[in-house]
Amino acid sequence: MEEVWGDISLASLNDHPAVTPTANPPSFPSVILQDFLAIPINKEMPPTARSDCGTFLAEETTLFGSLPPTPATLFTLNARSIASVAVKAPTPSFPSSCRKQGQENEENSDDPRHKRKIKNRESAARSRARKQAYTNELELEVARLLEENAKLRRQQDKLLASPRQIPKRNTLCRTLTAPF
Amino acid sequence: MPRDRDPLVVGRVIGDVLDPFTRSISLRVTYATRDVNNGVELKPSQVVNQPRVDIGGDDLRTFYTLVMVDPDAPSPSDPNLREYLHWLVTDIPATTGASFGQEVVCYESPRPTVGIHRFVFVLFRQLGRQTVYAPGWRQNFNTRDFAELYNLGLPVAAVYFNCQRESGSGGRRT
Repeated sequence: MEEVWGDISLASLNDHPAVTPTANPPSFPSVILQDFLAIPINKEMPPTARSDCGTFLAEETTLFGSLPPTPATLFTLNARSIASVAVKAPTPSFPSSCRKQGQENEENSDDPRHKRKIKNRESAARSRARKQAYTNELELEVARLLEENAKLRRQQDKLLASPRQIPKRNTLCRTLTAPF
Repeated sequence: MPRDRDPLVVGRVIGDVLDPFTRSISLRVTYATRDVNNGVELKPSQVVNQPRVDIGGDDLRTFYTLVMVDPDAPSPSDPNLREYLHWLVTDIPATTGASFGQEVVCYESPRPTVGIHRFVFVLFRQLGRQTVYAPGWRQNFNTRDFAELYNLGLPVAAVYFNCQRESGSGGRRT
């Protein structure tokens, strides 16, 4: 992996001799991808990253494109928010290359309002689901109870219709047993 | 009944906690005099003590596991502790109740602070009597994984109710 980085940086440096590294050249061969991502968003990108070397940018974007899923799987449930930040991090760095995320940039500037809207929408959806679920349950209960009621009525009618079948226990069957 | 009308589906219990299943055993949960039907709203003061749980079935040699979880902990809009385990009872013989089983995790009263939470009771059929180990902590319990770990398969019954803090103002207008 690091050899790839080394190859790319050396190649780009060779192609653009005019773009010389600044006084503090980031030693690319030793910069691993995780460290690269750890660079704060606001910090100035290394000069070679902003160069017109299209292949270099393309390499980086593809690497970036492949990386976001990995941190998400490594993180646990509790760190879901961290994972989402890690995915967002590359976006400001490459606004031109990531077209889809470019549209979100405008809404991201309205962040608290946008977030609130989304939260509100979700809350409203939950509220509607709650109401609908309860209504459905009530309808089922009503149907259940009506059926039970009908069944019990039928049973009762059957029992009332045939009183003769009820055995009488208190009458004597035999009145004379002894021969005397 | 069409699947999308099922209160468990509409209330997202099937989805957030459980996979689609077919009810096969009756499950009756009662807090004092109040029967729990899907989606009813109960106050924390009404659910302080463990409910009476009666299960159906017909063979006393079949055993069931009861799980009670809160998938909306600590808040429905940010449920990062999903699911919070409130109660776990195993080895419940069919036709009896939770008081006849083994309480692996004791009942903890629901005390929601933010939002309206769902509290779900799930019943699983066990393959036989089995030893179930209590998880190390109540939060981030996963009912699906638990069922897989102990070979419980799909649920045989489930019911849920809603609960918010005592002085809450959301929910159904009565």
